Amino acid sequence: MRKVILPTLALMLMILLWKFLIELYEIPKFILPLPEAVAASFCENFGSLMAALFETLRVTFTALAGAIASGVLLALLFSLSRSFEMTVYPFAVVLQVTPIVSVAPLVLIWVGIDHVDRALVIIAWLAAFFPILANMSAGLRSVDRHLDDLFTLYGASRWQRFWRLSWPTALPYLLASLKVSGGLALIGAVVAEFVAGSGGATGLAWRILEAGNRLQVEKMFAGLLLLSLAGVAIFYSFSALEWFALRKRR
Amino acid sequence: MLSVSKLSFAYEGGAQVLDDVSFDLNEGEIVSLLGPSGCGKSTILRLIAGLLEPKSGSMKWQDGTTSEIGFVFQDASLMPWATVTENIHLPLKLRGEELPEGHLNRLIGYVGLSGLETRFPQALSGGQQMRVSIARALAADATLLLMDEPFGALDEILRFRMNDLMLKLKAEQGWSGLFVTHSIYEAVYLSDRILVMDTGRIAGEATPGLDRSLEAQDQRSSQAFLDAARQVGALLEAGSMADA
Repeated sequence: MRKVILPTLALMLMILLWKFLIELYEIPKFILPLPEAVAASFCENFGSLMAALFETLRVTFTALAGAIASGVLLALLFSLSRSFEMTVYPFAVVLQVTPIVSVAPLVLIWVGIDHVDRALVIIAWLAAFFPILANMSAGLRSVDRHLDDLFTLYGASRWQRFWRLSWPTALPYLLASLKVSGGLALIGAVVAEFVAGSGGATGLAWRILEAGNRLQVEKMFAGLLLLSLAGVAIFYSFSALEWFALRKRR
Repeated sequence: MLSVSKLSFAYEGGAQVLDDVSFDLNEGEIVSLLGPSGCGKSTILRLIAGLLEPKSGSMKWQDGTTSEIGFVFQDASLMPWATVTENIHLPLKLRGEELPEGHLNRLIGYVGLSGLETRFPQALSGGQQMRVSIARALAADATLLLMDEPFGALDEILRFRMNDLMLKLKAEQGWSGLFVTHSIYEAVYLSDRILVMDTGRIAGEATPGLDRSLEAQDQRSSQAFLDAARQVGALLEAGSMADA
């Protein structure tokens, strides 16, 4: 219960402080709007904001699904061949360390001229892919040595070794990576929409950008609020999934 | 019967771990391998189980296969995602067989885990986890049990209890056992014979010859027990002196 009450109290305090500071220093509303103005804008634009959020989440989860599929598959291939891992892993690291903002325009040129949607998914995928690959690889490598010996002693097939040993061992690593990659996929989708600008993106980031161009700061805040809530919801959804999937191991 | 003949082993590019080791293990016997860390005790078990390939020499266990071998490691090495029953079932599942319910219940009863069948390993004590590990090793009707310091991580009282459990199981089921330990007292208490090892070779052999009709407490304080422990201690000492 304290886990809910304490952050809620902190949030209420922050809102009060926000309101207090605006009134104390008479900050203009086009710089920092009052909390109630943000709430009003949120209600007023609820339909368009939710439609935009749906669009951003669609890109986010499509990219995340792709990241899970490709990350898990590549990690499996790494576990089967050390040479393959040594050859490919550095390229995966390059993908990870290259700032997504600098790659996004290229992806938009290559893929996005006719299919902006695809470009957005690819950019979000780039952001989400590596933690899944890295964690899954670590998980597959962390099989209990003695259990591995037992599987050898009892003549386990390759499939039995994967399904009964490697996969359940790696599952906590995969679930932990989803909490990170879920948020990264959302960030990737938002970055992609910002870079795409008015070139066809219709998600929440584009709504924020559009509101900024019109100096509708309350609407920007409302969009940002929704984005933060979506990120928090994604994180806690995957935390709940992790808890549920691993509850018997605790 | 297990027959180990002129067994040698070295890791690739590494020093010789075993050098010309030979011994026999008769049916129904428990033989302990006792010696300092790194003398090659565990390597012998891994070679017999087929987990390592020898450089030279041979091992032969009855029909020549590893299908009747059970292995107990120092840590219980259970699958945390599986219940007690599922963990015990593992060897048979891997062979595509099912353990008949009556047999399973009997086995669980033997090792004192009745009522804990649906628990997960995290909900068990260290001793209970080790019991699951022993039951798993016996589940596939193992006739040779390889035990690599299985009780090394347990406290003294629990260790005594597990030693008694092993003797009881052996008396009831009649398997043979090759037991690696650092403890002289454990080796004397459990074994029909003790092979004292020193840097990759067998330096000596002792036969405790205890009166198995005695109660555990009396056994551990009997003159025969103390004499055997003293003899094994002297063999270990002689081995280390030879090295120095």
